Amino acid sequence: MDIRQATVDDLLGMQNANILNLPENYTFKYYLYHALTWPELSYVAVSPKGEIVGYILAKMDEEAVDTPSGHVTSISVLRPYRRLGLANKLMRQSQKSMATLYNAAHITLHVRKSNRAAISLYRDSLGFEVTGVEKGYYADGEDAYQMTLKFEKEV
Amino acid sequence: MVADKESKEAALAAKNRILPAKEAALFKTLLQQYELKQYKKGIKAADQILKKAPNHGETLALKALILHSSLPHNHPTASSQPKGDEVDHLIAAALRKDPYTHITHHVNSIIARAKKDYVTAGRSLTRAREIDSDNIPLIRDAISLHTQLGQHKESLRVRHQFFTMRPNLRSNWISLAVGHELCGNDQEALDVYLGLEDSTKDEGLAPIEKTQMSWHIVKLMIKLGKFKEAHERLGDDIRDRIVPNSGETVDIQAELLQKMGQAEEAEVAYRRLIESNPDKIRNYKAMLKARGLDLDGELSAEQAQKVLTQLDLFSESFPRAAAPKRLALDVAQGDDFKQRVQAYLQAGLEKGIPSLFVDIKGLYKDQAKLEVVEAILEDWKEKLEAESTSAPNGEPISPPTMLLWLYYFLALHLAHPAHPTPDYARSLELLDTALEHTPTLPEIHMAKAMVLKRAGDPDGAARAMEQARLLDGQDRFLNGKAGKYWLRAGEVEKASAVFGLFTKKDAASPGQDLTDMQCIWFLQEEGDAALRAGKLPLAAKRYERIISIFKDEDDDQYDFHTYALRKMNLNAYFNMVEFGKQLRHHPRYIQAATQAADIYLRIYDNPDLREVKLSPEEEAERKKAAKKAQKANSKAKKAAAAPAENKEEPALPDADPEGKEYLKEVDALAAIERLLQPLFGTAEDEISPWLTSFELALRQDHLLQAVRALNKSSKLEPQNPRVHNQAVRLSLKVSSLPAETAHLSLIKSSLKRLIPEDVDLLRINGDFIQQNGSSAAHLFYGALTLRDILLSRSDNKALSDTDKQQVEGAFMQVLNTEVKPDIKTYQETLSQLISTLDSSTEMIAKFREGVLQRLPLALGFSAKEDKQKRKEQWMAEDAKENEVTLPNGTA
Repeated sequence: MDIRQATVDDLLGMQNANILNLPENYTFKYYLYHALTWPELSYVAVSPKGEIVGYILAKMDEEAVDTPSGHVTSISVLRPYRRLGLANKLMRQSQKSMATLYNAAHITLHVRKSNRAAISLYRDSLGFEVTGVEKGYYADGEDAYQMTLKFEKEV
Repeated sequence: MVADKESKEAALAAKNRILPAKEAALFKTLLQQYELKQYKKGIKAADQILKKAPNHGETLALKALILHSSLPHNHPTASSQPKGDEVDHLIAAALRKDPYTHITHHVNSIIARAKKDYVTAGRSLTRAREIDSDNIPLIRDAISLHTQLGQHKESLRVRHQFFTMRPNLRSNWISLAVGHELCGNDQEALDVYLGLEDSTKDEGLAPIEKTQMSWHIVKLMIKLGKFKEAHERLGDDIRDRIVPNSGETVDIQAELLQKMGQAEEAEVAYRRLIESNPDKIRNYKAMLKARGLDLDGELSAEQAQKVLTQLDLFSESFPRAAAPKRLALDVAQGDDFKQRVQAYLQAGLEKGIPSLFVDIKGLYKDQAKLEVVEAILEDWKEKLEAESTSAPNGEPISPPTMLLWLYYFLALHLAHPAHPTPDYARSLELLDTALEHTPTLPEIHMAKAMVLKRAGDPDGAARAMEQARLLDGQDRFLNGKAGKYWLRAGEVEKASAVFGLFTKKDAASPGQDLTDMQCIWFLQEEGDAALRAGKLPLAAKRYERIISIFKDEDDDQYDFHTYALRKMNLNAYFNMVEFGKQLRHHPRYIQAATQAADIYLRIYDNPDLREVKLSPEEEAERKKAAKKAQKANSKAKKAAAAPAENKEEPALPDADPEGKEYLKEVDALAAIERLLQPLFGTAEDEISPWLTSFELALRQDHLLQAVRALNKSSKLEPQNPRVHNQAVRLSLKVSSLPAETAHLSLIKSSLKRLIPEDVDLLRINGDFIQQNGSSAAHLFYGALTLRDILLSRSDNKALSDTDKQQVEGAFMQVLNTEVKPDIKTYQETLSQLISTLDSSTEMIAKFREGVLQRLPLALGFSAKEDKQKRKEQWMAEDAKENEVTLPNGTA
């Protein structure tokens, strides 16, 4: 699977992959907002047929003023494309851009407290740690864990 | 005279515009209240003014604006709907009372814009600017509106005006440059960007904004062919740390060096890109191309060897990257290919990579490679089954799951359309063996579902996909697939219940949430399900929703025309503008548009289809649903009338969720024109819009247009069977025209290229059928064409019994043994026999049996009773299984 930076042309495919895979969905404008604000931070994994089978939709944390912090809005790999390490590869590319262009020192994300599969992916495969709890973060009232990954010097 | 009258009216309006002192002061407050979003107070103040001066246009307009601003943005609610109507009345009155002030037109423009009616908004704004051309809010809106509407010359004019008014604003420089670029004046744009830097107006930019600006300027220079300047500029900016010496910078640099003919330097740059992202295929291709090795072209044996050596080096350097190994499989041949693909397959199977087949099947363009892969797998299967403890190459013990994934791969391989002799039965056998081995792996059930679907058994496929879903209820991917397969099996309610497990609980229905989230595939599938069930209006409603999602996405660009000027992400911005132009070229748009158009054609030809005929039970069901909707509606209204709480008012329910009224009044041909219009200019290389365009033109008697569409189609796909059908139909039409018809000779001479003039059409069609005797689709259209010819020659526009038999006979030919089986065409044939030809039950049964004889697994073609029996059997099986598991579960 090809891994490359996402462009506006990829957004419909990312939106499609998102709603196929995850319960947290967004309308097109939100994707457009990411692409036109942080064009270098989102990446896609593309199948030989040209279908988007994985993506990371990422941004810079606009409230973190002192230390620039990257934030993963959404990351997902379609079920048939697992076990290829795509999530890891997508994450690493995004992190590189965050560090080089925005001087980010770490990256955060939110995950449903009940989503054990995702938590273990972030912790065990991607190296994130739980750094906080946000009460009632989701529309249905569920709490979110905030998870953080500190960048190594080399990226 | 007219001008005189108008100037008198204008003078009178100006006089009426002057308010008494107290009201004039109130009007000023009113403006402030709008700015401060004090909507309630604002409406009170407006009413107070209107009491004294009921014809004051500007106050009417402001009241409209304030009322409009206080309404919810997305969905109308019970209380907002009447207010929305009031807004419309107020603004209409305001424009009537005082069309001579910019305010009424500007407000009209703002409200139209909020409704995404950019055309009206643009027109009103132009009118407002004729009255007050230097008004800055008007200028700002005009730039965005013209840009959104693709009126780049107009937008440039306004940008230029604003620039001369306020040359000290940095954003005005950027805006002017962008305006030039949108018009294709790249040199002027570059001059403005450089001028901005020279005048040091770029000093306040954040580092990332300077980076973005630099990348864009360099790209523009490259576009203008100024390679040397671009190269120098990029070098300077790397040195000055304006751009990082990595990522996008190197990407631009590599492209630039390649263009400058500095192949060695380009190669170094591409190598750096590969190091930074060894999974990006384009970088490998570009690097090899810099060496004169074009992977997308023909390679000599010597070149291929060079490529492979290089790719092997990369594989060593980046052992975790799949790209170099996979690219090598494209290039390698013979024994070398066999060795490589063996290693690739073994690694993938041992690791249990579900997408291995999808990855490999790209090689099947080359039949020899398909055969090699198949031979390897069959060989391993035999060995592994015989001694499931040692690996195929005799080396260490293979993981027991390898055999499982091998079954999975081989099953998909045997059922793939690229396979010369697909063998669904064996594919299913392998999957059943795998399930005996491991019954809990959802992937095996998914594969089974897919094979059954391909084999023509939608019920069995849905059941298998449901089993996959039940094995992992937390996985939305499986959930969506199961819902989709239920839709394909015609189980719409079951599908909705399944989707509902993941949609928002407060949505009106699972489908509504998926629609709100712009889930296009769902709408397509639900539309298709409705179409298959003969519910044309509902299908049209779903397809039209897809069309409107594309409009929403187009509209979404609006805010970014100004946003991009602040963020400086100009490359991304121009990427968006280009995307907007091409948006309707998306296969999903074309599919929805042409399918909706087909429905409009059908209701145009047969107005009875505008409404679905309901059985008494269905009618009772409909009444119940309507009552329920009405109840919900009045409940919503009551809730809205109650004193306002902080609670958000719910959106009004869809008054016609089943789409019963959807097609009743619609102008079918105008609807088709609307759907096709955005495709011309963007999707001219696609055949389906042209085929539809022909159908439209034929019904409008625009024969020149019909010929043009036909010529386009036949150029794009000369072998497409619909082209033959359309050519014959046009020929039938032309032969019925009086000699004095306009352009007749032109049409005739153009048509001659497709249909010889002096040969009987029946013979032409007969030849067509004979020449395409192995293609089901061609035989199908041959039969359809035969029907068209016979119909046109009958006196009462109906087929005689012998004609009908002849047409049925032609349709039956799709089942001939020399025809490659084609499930989609069989379905279409069946629906022609049932609905258009009104064939006898015996005839239909005969066709169904014929399909089953050719495709024993295509149980979708079995008789209704047999399908029902099978479902009952499944229910009994499931019940039994629950009985067995239940006591254990509760113990």
